[in-house]
Amino acid sequence: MNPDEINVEKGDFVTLRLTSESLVEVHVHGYDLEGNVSPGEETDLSFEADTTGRFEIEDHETEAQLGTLLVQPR
Amino acid sequence: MRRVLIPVLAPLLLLPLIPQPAVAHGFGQSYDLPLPLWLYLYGAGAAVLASFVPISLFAGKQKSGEDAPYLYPHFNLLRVGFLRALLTSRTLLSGLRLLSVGLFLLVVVTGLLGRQNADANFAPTFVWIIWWVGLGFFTAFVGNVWALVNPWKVIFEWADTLIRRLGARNGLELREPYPASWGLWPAVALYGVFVWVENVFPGSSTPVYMAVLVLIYSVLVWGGMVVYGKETWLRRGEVFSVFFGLLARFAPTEVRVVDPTPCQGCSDTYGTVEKGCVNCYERFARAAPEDRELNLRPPAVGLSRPEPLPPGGVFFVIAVLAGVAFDGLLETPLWNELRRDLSMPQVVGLVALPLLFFATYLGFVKLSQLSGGGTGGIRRYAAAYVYSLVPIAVAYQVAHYYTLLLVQGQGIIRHVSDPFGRGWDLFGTAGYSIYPGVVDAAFVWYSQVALIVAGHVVAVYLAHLVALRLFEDPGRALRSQYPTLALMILYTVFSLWIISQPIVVEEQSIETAPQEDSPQPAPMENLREPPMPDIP
Repeated sequence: MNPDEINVEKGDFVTLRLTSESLVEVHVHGYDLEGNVSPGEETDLSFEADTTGRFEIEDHETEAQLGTLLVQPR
Repeated sequence: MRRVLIPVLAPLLLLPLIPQPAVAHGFGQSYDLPLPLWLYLYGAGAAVLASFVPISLFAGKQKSGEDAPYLYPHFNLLRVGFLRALLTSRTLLSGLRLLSVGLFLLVVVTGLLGRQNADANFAPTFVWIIWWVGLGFFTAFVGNVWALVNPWKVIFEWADTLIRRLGARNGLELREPYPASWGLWPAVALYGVFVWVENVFPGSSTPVYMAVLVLIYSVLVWGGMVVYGKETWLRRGEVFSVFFGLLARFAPTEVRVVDPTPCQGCSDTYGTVEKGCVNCYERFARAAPEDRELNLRPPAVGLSRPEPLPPGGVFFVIAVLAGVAFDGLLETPLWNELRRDLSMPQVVGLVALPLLFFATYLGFVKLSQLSGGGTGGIRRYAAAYVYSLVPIAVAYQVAHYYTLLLVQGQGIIRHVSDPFGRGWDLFGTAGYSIYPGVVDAAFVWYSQVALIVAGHVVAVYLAHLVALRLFEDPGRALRSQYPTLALMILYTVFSLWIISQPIVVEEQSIETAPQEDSPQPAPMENLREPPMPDIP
């Protein structure tokens, strides 16, 4: 994933604009967000970063880790 | 509200960057953010400054004499009517034992027959989070309930009673003499295996492997109990009884037998004085009701007793100090670089770390002996100080794991309704989803630092008590304290450092145990750096 670490602050309204060269099911732990990304398309994952912590972002199908979401306290 | 738009190129064309999530500490991911650098530095500074508080407050004010370590204030809970009725209730005790055996069997059965997915099965969450972390905290901060409900012990007692009723007069125990030189070494070896399973073994959260390991260990425990007798094996070889027994020394409760006659034979592990014995569970179970006390006491006083330790006793405590740190250390960048540079398998670190801790400990103890002018061999000094380090390990363990217990521990709410992961909903809680925001990261940071510094102060105080007893003369005791103080600062700062490090996810694609729901990720060689995303 690029960037492999996403740093935001608590209270931010975050939109992840996902693009991919292959079909992938992106899953953000803790926030339990999911987004299906198809090649050549943009998929937006929007959420309010209301919980601090370090959350893994994985490919839901293979459970392989793609990157990390870090929500820092204000 | 700040709005952030982050363009993300999700996966690579070929393969994800890191093939598998970390499998450290058995099961369950912590959402903790690493401690910020400034807080780490403050914490380390606070630990150094706070070291002098107990020394300056309590220097030279200790009672001396043989019984001194037992002369702390305590209050017998059994003197309160309703508590006595509750705590000595046969029904409650039998209920707890039944529950414990039921949970033990449930772990085995769900492990063998349940869905082989760690997130869907009862066993991983229960064993690694509720039992290992949760019961550890309970033991350290409430008391040693494991001695009452240990399922291996309970099942053995049931079988023993049954076989006696069927006519076998001597029951199940052969009571072969246990070799004195073995001491606690069986427990040391088993603790090593346990830490390996917890932190290194890739199948640590695969239910069927867990069930098989539990069964193998059961054969070992019952074998040990049959050959050497139940009580001997519980004190020497049943590693969880030894481990929780160590944590129970920190606990604010104790069981005490007032009449000293039944205390013979407990001296090497639990301590005997003329006034009776403390936390000698088997004697307590046998004592007359009027001789039993269940005392509330100041926390950690059980760690300041000058008891002789069995062979391997010092090493067991040191191995626990290292084992507690191992899980966090595995995830630090430094450790991972070190491993890569030395191409060192994880298991080498597992063996090397306690040895390194042990050598460091002996070095500082020797210095302490020299600067206090102590005579004789190092053995006596090494045994005297070793318990005083335990509060730092307890504090670190809590700092490291309490959010895991509070957040991932919630998973058990879901699993009780569907223990096998077969889509049941026994209690209507199968759909429960974990709420990750129980504690805010800033609170987590401050509480972690506060806990570790507090553990450090308690440890310094205990070491001070030990020094006064060893050296008698307050001046010499004080001089002997500087090396032990340095050792404690080292261990405390090391603990703080671990939680301040960014977490490295371990790369292990090949060793990963099979999981029904997750196909094997492809090997590492195919990795490519991703191209830069097109930023809209």
